[in-house]
Amino acid sequence: MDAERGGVNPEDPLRSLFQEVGHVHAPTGLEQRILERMGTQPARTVVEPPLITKPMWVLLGAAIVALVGATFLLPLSGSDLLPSTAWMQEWLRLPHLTAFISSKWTLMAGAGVLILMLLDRMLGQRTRVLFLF
Amino acid sequence: MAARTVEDPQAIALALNGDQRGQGALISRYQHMVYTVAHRVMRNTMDAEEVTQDVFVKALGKLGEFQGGGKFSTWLYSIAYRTAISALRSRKQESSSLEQLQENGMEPAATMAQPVDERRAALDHALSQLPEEDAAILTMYYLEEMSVDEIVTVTSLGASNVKVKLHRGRKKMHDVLKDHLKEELWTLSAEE
Repeated sequence: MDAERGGVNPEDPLRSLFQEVGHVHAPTGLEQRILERMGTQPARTVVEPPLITKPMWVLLGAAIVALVGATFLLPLSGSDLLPSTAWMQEWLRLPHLTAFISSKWTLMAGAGVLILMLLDRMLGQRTRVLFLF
Repeated sequence: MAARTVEDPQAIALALNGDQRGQGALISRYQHMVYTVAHRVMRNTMDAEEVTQDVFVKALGKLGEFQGGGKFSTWLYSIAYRTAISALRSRKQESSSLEQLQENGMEPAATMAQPVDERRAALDHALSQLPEEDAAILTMYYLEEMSVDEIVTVTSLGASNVKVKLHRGRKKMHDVLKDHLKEELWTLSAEE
């Protein structure tokens, strides 16, 4: 059978009959009725979920607060620090941290992150109007 | 009208922006195709038109989901087939059979009531002897010239299931058409 090959056999009399008879013609004015029906469809508003969820914002905020807090709380000299925080003090020595934060790369990266965050907020608040079906 | 001459991608782009010219072009181009599958499944003009309207409203509403890599006609056909089958199931729940609906005053299919010619009437009659799903599948295969793979995509049936339905439907149609078409017409058709 031609169906086994996945395509129709052009010699098949059924194909000839179907092709000759063609489509069943849609009633006159159907196109207009569909367009009119589409025009009366009630619209619904779909709120796109934000790319960064609220818990993630909280987590990011907490991390930033912790980082800033650490820069103020940790002394410049590490001699009086507990051993468990010595590594942090070493990394967060204020002159190094200040230089790191004020470098143009960090500022640009920060600005980039800020723009992406703003974009995310805008996308999150943006609504899209779809037809209700 | 200019919108009638635009290609599918242009019409789709216009329709995505809510432009009625794009929507109109797509409806105009595919309304007979959609109406045909709706009619093959529903077997009456009233339900076929309702299903056709539903199909276009649905399809144009979720046009953004159409993957440009595939054929728009196949995507639309898939929506048409599923909408028609779903509508048929709803109708069957409301009534025990389509025959009962027609007895209750439903309008019979236009092509059955007013056959354009003998062969159209014979084809309609033969298709009416098949289950609705099989009639739609044969229409996809012989009229739209879809491959088995495309029919599988449209119907979500297995390839072997589609082949069985094609084989069974084809055999049944041959039997019915032999009885209803004059031998010379059927022979002529076979030779074409």
